[in-house]
Amino acid sequence: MMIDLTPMILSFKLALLCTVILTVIGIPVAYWLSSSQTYLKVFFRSAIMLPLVVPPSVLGFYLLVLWSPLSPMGRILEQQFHLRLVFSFEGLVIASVIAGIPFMLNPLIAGFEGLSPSLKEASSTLGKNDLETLLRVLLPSVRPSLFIGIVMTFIHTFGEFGLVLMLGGKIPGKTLTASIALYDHVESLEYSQAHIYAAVITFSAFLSLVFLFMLSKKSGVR
Amino acid sequence: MISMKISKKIFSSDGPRTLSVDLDINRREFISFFGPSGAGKTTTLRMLAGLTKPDSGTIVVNGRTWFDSEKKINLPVQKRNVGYVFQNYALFPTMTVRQNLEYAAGKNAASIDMIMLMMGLEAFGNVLPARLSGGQRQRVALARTLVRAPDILLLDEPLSAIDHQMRCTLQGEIVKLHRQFNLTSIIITHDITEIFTMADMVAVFGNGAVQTHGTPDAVFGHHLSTKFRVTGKIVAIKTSDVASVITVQAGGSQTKVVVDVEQTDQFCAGQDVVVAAKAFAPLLLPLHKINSIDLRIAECNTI
Repeated sequence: MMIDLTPMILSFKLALLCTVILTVIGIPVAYWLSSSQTYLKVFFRSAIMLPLVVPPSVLGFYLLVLWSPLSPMGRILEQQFHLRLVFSFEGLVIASVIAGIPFMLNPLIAGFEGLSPSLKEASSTLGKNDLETLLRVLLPSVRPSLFIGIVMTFIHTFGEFGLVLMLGGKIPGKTLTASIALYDHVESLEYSQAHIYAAVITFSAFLSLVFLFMLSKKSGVR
Repeated sequence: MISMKISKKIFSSDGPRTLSVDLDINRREFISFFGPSGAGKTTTLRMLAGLTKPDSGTIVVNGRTWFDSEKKINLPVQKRNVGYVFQNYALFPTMTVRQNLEYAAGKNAASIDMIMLMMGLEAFGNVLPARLSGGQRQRVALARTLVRAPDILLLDEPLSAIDHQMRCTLQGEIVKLHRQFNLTSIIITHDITEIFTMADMVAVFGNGAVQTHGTPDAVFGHHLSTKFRVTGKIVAIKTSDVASVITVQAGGSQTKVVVDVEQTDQFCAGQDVVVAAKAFAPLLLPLHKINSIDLRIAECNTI
């Protein structure tokens, strides 16, 4: 039986892009939040946790309303930047980044907060600026937390359902990801295809985990 | 010369208080900060290093203003060229010993091999800090500050977590390095012996200020005596009909002292006491030279 691999590739692309973006954004934000003394910290920490508490369909609904071509923001995006975020892959990437924030940031913040403040201070007394200290001393020291963030973000995005369905529709090749394709087949009572999708998704997720853990072991994380 | 006239609100176990430090330290001097916990010793050290900002005042080092609250001058820690040895060593855990030194050295990399050899670290170049003993970590921490050729060495209780023998060795090494590298050094310690062994000067902190400042002899001189005195703890009291034998633990050894039965009541096990000789000058021998023959000779001489 032939099976369309496009949804799998799309899910993989979405998860990979989202993880890369969140890694790049997450590291400086987590570092800033863990070292900042601002009284707004509680507000930021709550905002980070929000996508974990709010159901993905609710987040999808708000983004759908916000980015709709009928809304002021949707109009500006379309007129000024020729960008339509609803029912598009770009929209899915941004939405997945928002939904993935807690999975990347929470382990990273915990990692940074667990480090002795004297590491940063020692690096400062050795003449190093904050960026060099972050990249060469602190980040290598929180590598286990970073790998947990990467694995969690990737796997969560790979299997995301409610948000993708609400915001992306089911456009083949654009927004029809693996978990949506599986749902479609179940709805059409095509259980044999659904079985193949489910098995491929499970196997891919497992392989991703094995790959990432091998990578983390290679880089010295125990 | 370091000239500090600074104040800072600190939070000690007795609640908030203002720490006011007015202290001058000469170039190439080895000074010790002494005093109870929470007196502001570490805060003062951190303010000098630029890790903590004073509320007000001035810090002038060799004619250059590092901090001036009125003129809004606060030289960043990176530009103060101080070597700071932290109590927990703060070695970078993912870097080997050599990488720790290379990270610190920057352009001064040429001095790494020489300093590693000098500190006896040449065999540990590829070892991660977690695999080192306390004494070895302390050496790496010292070496890491020295590869930058600092003007001032700040040591925050660097020997507090190290066993007695290693501590004695490191005390000597630090003093040697202080002279060899022409440093101005400040050490925080709770150990008076350490002050006498290492420091030229001592500043005693208390009640939020430097209370006394001078040479160790001048500051602690009134406690000194040529008579033999050792402080220790009573570990056992055995009383017979005619006398009591009290065992006192002092440092690494025990001494038995015979006491009149009537006086025994004032002592109890666990009590801190002073063992003092009334008249004779005590015999002093280096510990490593003592063997059974030396001991016998020593006993004969004493008798």
